[in-house]
Amino acid sequence: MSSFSEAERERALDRRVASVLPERKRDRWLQRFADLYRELVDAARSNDLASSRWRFRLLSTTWRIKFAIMRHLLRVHRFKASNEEAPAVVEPPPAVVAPPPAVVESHKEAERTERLLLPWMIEDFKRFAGNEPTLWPDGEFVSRFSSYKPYFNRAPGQLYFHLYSLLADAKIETVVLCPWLKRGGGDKGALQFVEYYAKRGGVALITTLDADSPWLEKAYKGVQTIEFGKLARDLSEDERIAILTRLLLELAPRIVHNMNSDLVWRCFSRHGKALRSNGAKLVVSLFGDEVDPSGRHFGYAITYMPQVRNFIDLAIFDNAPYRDTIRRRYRLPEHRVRRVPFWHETAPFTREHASTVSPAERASVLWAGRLTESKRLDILFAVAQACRDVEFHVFGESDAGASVAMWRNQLAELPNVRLHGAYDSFHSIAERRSYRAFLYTTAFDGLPNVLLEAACHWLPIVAPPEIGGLADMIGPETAFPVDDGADAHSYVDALCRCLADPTEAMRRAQNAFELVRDGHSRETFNAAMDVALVGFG
Amino acid sequence: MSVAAVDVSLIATFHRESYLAGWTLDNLSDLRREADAVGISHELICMLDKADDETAEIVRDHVGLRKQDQVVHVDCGDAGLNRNEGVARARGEFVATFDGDDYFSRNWLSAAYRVLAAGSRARVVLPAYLVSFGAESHVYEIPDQEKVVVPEEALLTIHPWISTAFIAKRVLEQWPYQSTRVEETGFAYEDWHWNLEMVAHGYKFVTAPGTARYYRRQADSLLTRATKGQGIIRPNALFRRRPNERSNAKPNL
Repeated sequence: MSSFSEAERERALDRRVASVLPERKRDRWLQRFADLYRELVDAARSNDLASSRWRFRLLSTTWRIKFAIMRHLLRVHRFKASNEEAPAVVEPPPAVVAPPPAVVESHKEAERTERLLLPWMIEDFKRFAGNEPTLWPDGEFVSRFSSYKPYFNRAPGQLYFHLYSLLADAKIETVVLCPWLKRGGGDKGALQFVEYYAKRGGVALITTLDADSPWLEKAYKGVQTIEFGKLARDLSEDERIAILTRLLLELAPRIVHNMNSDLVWRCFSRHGKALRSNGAKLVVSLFGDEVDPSGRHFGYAITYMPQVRNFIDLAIFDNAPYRDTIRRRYRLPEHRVRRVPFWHETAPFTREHASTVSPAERASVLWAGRLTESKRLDILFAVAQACRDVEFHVFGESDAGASVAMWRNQLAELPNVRLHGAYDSFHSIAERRSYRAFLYTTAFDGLPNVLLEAACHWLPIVAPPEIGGLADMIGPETAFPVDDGADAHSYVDALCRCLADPTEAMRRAQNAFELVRDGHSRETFNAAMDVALVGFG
Repeated sequence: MSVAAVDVSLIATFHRESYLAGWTLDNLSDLRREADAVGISHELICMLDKADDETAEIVRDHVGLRKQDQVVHVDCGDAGLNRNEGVARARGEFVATFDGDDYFSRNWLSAAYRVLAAGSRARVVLPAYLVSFGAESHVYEIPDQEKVVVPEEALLTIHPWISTAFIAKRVLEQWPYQSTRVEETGFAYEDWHWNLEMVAHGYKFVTAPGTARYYRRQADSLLTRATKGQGIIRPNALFRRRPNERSNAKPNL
């Protein structure tokens, strides 16, 4: 009796599944099994198939039937479809097609798998067994074999070719990648880098998260912008990395600059060596470690630098303290770590922006920023509670979370605290009234843009210099330094010194203004970039 | 145009296969006897690339070596460059490539020769099946572009063909393999790269019916090392094509 061919067997299964699967249910089933399939591929990739959950599934008859239907749906209907909506998986794990040997217990099962090896292959193995007896094709040996079928997933390649055709003629010399472009200090910095590069050659600006980027329209004229995260939202991370890396290899830009995109850090981790072999200089921007409540540091540098340290040509910092930390931590030479302070427009601001309130009036203090756990709302509360004769005006959007909500409620109950909510621009809130000080509380940071804003508005700053990159701005001549950033009493002391001597406060505010005007100008930014990129060709 | 000295040059690469090299050479002897039987002339070029002494000795002393065969010591340390060296020494009109620890069905040479000699030279002939054994056991039917559509877009994330092939020598001279040296460069999969270059330049991958490559899957294979080393294929002509340039390429033969 001749055995069924592989194709005949598959056709029989297709007919069987088609007969039990009504047309109207097919799409829904297809989606359901595409999800299951993706879960299975993930499990195979993470070597999770040996877990009890998957062992149960692979051994269970019900699940085996599900896998058969899934295979049928994916192969017959999805493969023959128009390809636009192919599920985002790369290739099926072999375990899907046939169960592990332990499952093959019944005579019927053994027959089924034996047919995978064609008769002439069995004869070939018998010949090979002359030298290599372990290849003798007995029942146990042939039952090990499963059928491997590649899944021709077109979706990643389609997106790749689309992006390549958009950028191929633009003579891209630099690719800047960031998660998104929204209102924020880092986003402003990204636009400054883009402008710098765009004045020297073709630039592509690529956002990698599936999120809105309203500031993309602010990109320097002529810059090619691509919302990759949105375009690739249905693809797996491996596929997104494959597309981005291929794009960077084929476009062969001179510089690839990562501004905080986790996907690009992963891309550098996997393929940084190849990108450099292809002639690209890899640049990353770093701003500061993050710190959890227990004091443990984390962040991009900590996660990825051990893997990419040798591939990174240049790490750019907006502040010197973090540059020095990273240089020391990863033993990097000076030319690979550079401070490039973002530029800040100071021209519209004059001494007239300074507070004109007399000491006799009730002092108002400004606090502005996102209300998050990391902003040490507990300290803000303690300071406000201790300084009942001072009015605190708190601006900023609140993060979700029980802790933030609790501190927000606590602050709202203090009679000397005004919670104003989100704000459009620092200028709009600074103009509302004459504040006597700008109070900055935080657990960690780089060099926050809001401090530059406060200095531009001639606001005396009370902040802890030892945290993150704040020391670049906060010193005894430019601010009222808080001795211990984790201690509310230190904040109260510094704030009291500030409020008690308006003349001295104004002198320091002027120094801070001049520091921003001179140290954060467009010219200093450009000059620092010129130095940082020496040797980049 | 020069006339080739033989029909087919078999280029087999050896490194540190030890006794497995002997088994592979036994298998190649079977293939050669089958080719003899149908009148296909051939030579064997054994490329010993940074091979250890034991492997070199097993290869040199193999009883299947014939007078016209060559045993060549090279220091490439790179699969692609090593193959190019072999091609440079080949005297055949066609070249068949082999790895030093695999097997082929014994009709491979004659079947592949029939396919290529009967039609356009702008084709790369592969076995109809890849049968993996050892650390993993799979049967894979290799896609034949004259029978099934392999979407070019899919080639970004999947390599549906294999590294050993039967092909006109002048094609390999025109399109040599690129080096990879994954540890140094981050680039890997010279075969995937070369195959895509072929697609980009209009060549077709076809299979010889009733043939298989039996591929020994070892826990620490080159493939595994490339995966560990996070290798990726080099920049490639296929991925630098615009939509209107696709599928119009014609091989320059």
